[in-house]
Amino acid sequence: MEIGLVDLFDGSTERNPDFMARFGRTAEELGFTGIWLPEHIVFFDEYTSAYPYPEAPSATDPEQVERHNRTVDGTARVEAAEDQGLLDVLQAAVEVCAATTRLRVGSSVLLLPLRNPTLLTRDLMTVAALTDGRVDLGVGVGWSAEEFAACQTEFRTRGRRCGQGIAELTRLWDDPDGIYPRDPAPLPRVLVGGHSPAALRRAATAGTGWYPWNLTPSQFAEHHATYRAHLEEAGRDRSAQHVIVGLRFTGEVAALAPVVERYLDLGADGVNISLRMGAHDYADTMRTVSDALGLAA
Amino acid sequence: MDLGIACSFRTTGTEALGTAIARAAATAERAGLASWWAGGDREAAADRAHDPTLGLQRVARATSRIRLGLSGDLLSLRGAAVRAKQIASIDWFGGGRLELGLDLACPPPVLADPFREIGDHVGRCIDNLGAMRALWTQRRASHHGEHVSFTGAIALPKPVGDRVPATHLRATTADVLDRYVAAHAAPAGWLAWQAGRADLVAADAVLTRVLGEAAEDVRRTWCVPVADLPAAREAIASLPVRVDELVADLDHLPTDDEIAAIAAFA
Repeated sequence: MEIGLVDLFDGSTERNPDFMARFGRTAEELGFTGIWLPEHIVFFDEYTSAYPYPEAPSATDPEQVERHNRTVDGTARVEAAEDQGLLDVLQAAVEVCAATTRLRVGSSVLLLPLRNPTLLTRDLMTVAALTDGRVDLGVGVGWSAEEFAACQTEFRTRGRRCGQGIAELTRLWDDPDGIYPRDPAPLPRVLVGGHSPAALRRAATAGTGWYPWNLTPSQFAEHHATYRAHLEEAGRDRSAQHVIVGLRFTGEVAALAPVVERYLDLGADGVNISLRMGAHDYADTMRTVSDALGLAA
Repeated sequence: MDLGIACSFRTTGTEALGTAIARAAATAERAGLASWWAGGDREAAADRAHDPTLGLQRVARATSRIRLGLSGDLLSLRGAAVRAKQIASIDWFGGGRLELGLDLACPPPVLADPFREIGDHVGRCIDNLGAMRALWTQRRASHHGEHVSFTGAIALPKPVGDRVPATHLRATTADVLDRYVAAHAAPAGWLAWQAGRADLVAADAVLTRVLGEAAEDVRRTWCVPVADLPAAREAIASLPVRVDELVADLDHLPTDDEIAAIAAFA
């Protein structure tokens, strides 16, 4: 089973490159498969857009959800500090991989519609070369119209642009007459985030995996069935795809193991857990989770 | 006069990319070179090289003193906010050593986003730079230009030390320089990139014609193919223009011997 941690490197003094190296090495030593890094290009104090994943499965009963995000005027907000920073996700991935030997690093998720796919292809070839292929590409369409406007990208058509971006990335990777480095490493796994009908179809037809977020086990089972049906329609084999369930977990760590087991029993290939660990206690938290899940054994 | 090196991130032997970058960058710094310039977007495509930004991030992590330069950013190819974060992140990893070189010439079509129209690429570059500077300097950033507009954007990290990275322009035409200066005032630097002597002198004349006396405050960098370094070094004393930095350019990551040969011209 693949157990990953979702956490962030914010470009602060506290979470400097030495911290990033220690964080990565600790995760690797404790048996985690990967670290997954969120992406936002900019944040805002005020949003009209609602954060779409404010509720996560409860630790005590994962079929129930608990709302952990702040709500303002009825609109769910993203979980972020007042002055939230995030390093460029690909540079952060390269940095963590340089400090480790086995740990994978993924994007959770890279906002693909904001990127020029021609240049992103080169970026990812470079990342693959620098990390010996230890990077996974979670991609998504975002939720913040404010962020898309600031990034000069139409919000309404972001889904289409995401699908186009994956297709272009896949095509260019194998372009023998390209402008890219010769003999690139294999294309990273492209896991499409979200569980909307469009996201499920995109994951099954364009990506090489699916990355749902904050679904209860029952919801996961339902959407996973739809995803598998889309794969079958497309003539693609589920065993060649990769499904990682991501969730924000705020309960007691002791309750984590049965939750993880449930997703794995339902067909997930791995589970990514967001614990929002502190800079001073992350090692203890990782050790507790590793012990609870039997990762280092 | 400073002496620097520029290269495309392309390996020529069996060395892994990350190893080659770290080795060459550390060697260049030990050899006393003043700067390491990543080849621009244009050169990366022509040389089938790796990404200049990610390569330069590894240079930043392998060194502590050498100036770090992006030599030819084609700003119209990327969203301003995306690029602002990428550049601020390198600067963060490098402890505030990044300098930004802009290439305002028309981008090669092969680098374009196939699903997005660029239109007036010079205007987009100039507007994007304004947006980037707002994101780099304002706690809650606002910018309202022809191509990009936002209010209250929180962009972190910012470049180290409450500064905007020194911005160099690749030598361009008087019309383009005029447009740039009207929006952003004089650039910090003027890059005569892979230029012959005649091109260097002509480029300097453009700078002087547009900026007048203010041109004196602009740092002049002359980049030549590494094979032309001996002749360029010898010619500098007799040139009618000032050169503040001479840069030797390679289409690949240099060997230690190549770096030593360049450093010998300091």
